[in-house]
Amino acid sequence: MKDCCKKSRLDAYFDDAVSDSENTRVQQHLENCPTCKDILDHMALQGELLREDLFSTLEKVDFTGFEDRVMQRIHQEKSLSTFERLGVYLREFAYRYRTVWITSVVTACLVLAVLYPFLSTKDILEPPNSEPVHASAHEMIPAGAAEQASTDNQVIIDSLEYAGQRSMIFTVSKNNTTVIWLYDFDQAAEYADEGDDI
Amino acid sequence: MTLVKKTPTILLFFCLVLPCLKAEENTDEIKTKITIRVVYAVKDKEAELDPRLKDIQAELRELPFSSFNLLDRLETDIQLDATVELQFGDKQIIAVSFKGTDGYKNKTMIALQIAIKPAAKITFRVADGGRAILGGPSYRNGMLFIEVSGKLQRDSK
Repeated sequence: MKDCCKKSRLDAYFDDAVSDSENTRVQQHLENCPTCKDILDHMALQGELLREDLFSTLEKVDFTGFEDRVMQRIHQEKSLSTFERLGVYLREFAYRYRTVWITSVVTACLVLAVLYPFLSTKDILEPPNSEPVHASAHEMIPAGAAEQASTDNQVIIDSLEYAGQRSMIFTVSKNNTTVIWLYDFDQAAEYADEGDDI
Repeated sequence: MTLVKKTPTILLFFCLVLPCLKAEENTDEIKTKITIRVVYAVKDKEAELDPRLKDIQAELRELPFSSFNLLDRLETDIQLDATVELQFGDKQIIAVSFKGTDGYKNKTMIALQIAIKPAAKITFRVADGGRAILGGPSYRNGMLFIEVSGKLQRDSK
């Protein structure tokens, strides 16, 4: 019989892991099949050799007090500190609920990406306030204070209507403060008084 | 299960609606704090700086004057299109109007109109919290410089 010669079937028979009917069938086959019988004998011999080797090794090992030594070693193991336990807990938690937090993080990133322009606008609207430094009266003017450098004084002039003839626009200091200097303002005011206001 | 299927839709809804609400909030009534300081500057005098002008000393020291004193100061919150006036010097008047805000290079700019009656009218935009200095009117032995600054105020409704 071709199928009975499968090694797995003979293994199961050798380990007595087949049903009674199968056991009978394999026994009948072995009586007529020297090949399968040789394989079975070989397996039995291998098992015998392994057992002999194992038992000879075990005879050299001293198992006296083995259980006591194991238990003593377990008691000697230091218990985990709070931080270590917390780390283990967090790792397990992160792994167990990885779907939840990954989804949450991705969602939060998307929401932040959408809201970013508006959040940054708020930052622009509320820059850090630079408190003026109070100095004693009649103090000599020192070099520019560091806090002034953070002030943004950019100015864009859209229109300038001036009744006079001499004016100048320039910037001063590191803060780029714009100065609009109306040189002949007094004369211009007199001219303007004669006509309509600008 | 149905809720799980609808979750992306709900998230998308919030992603679209929240910015709109935020934008709506931004259109709420805005105010700006206008500060006007009148500085009396004199040449040929011992160097002197009013301690109340310490924050603009870097600007003032580049002007061709040696002594700077604060004559008057006005600080007030005004709403859109409102005007604040301050009389200074020889009965001159400066009027500052808040004309709105806009963005420029990722900055918020405050649009102001300054009228120094009756001779000059200037419309300009200044960075939020920034300042400009106007000079010209003579006063006693020197000259007046007027510093105008604006800072946006947010109403928390």
